Amino acid sequence: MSATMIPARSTALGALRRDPVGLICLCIIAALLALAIFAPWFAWADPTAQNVLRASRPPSAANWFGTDQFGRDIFSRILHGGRVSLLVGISAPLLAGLVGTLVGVVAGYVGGLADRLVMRVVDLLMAFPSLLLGVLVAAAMGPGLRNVVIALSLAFVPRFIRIARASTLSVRQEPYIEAARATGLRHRRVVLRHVLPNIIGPILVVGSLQVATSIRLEATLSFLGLGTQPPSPSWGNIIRDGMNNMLGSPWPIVASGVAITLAVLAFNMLGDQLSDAFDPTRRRKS
Amino acid sequence: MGRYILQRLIDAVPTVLLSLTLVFAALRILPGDPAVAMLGDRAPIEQIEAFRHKVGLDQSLPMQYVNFLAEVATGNFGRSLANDTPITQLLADNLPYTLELTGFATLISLLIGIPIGIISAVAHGRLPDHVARLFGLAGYCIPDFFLGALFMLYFGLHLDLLPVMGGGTGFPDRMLHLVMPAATIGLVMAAFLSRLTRSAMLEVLRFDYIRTARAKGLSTWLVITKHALRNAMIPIVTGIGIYILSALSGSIAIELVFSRPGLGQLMIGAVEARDFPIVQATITMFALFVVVVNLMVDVAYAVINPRVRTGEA
Repeated sequence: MSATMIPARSTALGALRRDPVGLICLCIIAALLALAIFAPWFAWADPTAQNVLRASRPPSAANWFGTDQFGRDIFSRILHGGRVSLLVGISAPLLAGLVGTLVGVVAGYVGGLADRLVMRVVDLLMAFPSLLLGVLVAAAMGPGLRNVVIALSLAFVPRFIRIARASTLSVRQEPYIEAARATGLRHRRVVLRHVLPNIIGPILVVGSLQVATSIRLEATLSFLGLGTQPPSPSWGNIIRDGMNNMLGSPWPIVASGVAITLAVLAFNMLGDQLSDAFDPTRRRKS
Repeated sequence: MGRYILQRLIDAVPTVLLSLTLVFAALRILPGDPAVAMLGDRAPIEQIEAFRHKVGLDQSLPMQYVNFLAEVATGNFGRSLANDTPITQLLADNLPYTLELTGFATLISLLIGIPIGIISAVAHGRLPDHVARLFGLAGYCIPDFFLGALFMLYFGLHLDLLPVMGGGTGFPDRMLHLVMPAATIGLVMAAFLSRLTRSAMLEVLRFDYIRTARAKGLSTWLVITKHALRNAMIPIVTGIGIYILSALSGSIAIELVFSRPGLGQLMIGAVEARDFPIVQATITMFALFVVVVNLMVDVAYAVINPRVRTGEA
């Protein structure tokens, strides 16, 4: 088993590339990232420029997704809003993943009292709905982008700790870890060279799923007025603005909602595909 | 059984304390000052000092902690900064709306999600399964507040079928106002629940006793309901706790979408209005909810899994 586990990483990514669903997910994600990063090139209109003469317009050649009640171009707002959504969507799980993996691996490898203490805190944090933690942090630290990232990282950290710890516990049983120790390697090297590479799969799976959750939660917090602050657009606060002008135009709500759904869908499916790709028993079957 | 429940109740005491401490500490120890968070960082220093004094943030932390626990124990959370209303009154006014929303949403999700999950598992790999899995995926990807807004646009504004705002007055009107918000949360939860039911059923349907039951000549229906579902219920009930909590947190955004009164509306309004005592009281209420739901799941788990109550597990 352990012999097949080492090359599993490269073949897992290969399997993902060969799989049509995985490929489509990667393409959607690449397209969304490109649109967000190069937003000013694709959408010339200033996302915050108001023009009351052109308020609440339906989609047209000039404004692809129409305009909102202040006459702002929705297409431009969605693309620029995507920068915030994807930035938070990726950075919160990344931060949580780095911290959570470190803590989880150490807890699983060391065991004992430290492990029990860590798991007690993890259980407590896991019991709280992530959105509630987000509101709690926003209430304590004020609304805004940085604090949303902190809040979401706090909500995700226990999930990474749990998976990193569980994976470390199962890897630690493997004979090759004992062999590595027997050759006189230090604990730190054993963890870095032998434990980490073998648990990276499940962590990437959780990471990808958390990006989906993170995009959804950022949108929800911004919708509640606790995330990205106006006039800066984000997918959540575009819907919030749109709710005040539902009779005028449904387009901001629909366009932004579809953007969130698409992004969440792509990262969620990618997570599922990664999960299949990293599972050697399933890969052999296909 | 009674003993097991008593044991769980005793176990819950430290959990309650820890959760309360988490809320207390988060609002005070996290970098950033709640007074500054509430008033904005350009507020003059005197104004911030006055605010801190008014809500008791200028006292020592242990003193604040004792006061906070006393507030929770007596249910007396002080008065709103904005209009001096007793917060206990505000909580009592808003709580029923959130409870009925969460309750109905959970009911809808059970009625839709579990049957879809069962059909999906029984028809594994065939068309009904694919449709059900699509439903499950959609529920995960479409944010609840967006779905609520779509319902509101179509059923409320376009077809003019259902009321779009408020909580309603009088029983029939109140139920009418509940339809769209509860259906929104219920459908999203049903999607999750169908996924969970499907995988739990698939797990169970593999076992030998299912084949034995079929070989005995029992009808498919009887095998599914009596043998498979009963065993699949254990992960489902454990999962339901998580879903009730996600319905509860979903109610925050949905109350805002439909301008419904409720705990979430009260909490978000208080964060915006910088009403610190209400913020602390509402978050505490949500935290207590979390503990109570988890406790209920533990008890329900014991009811359906006899091994837990006799202590074999």
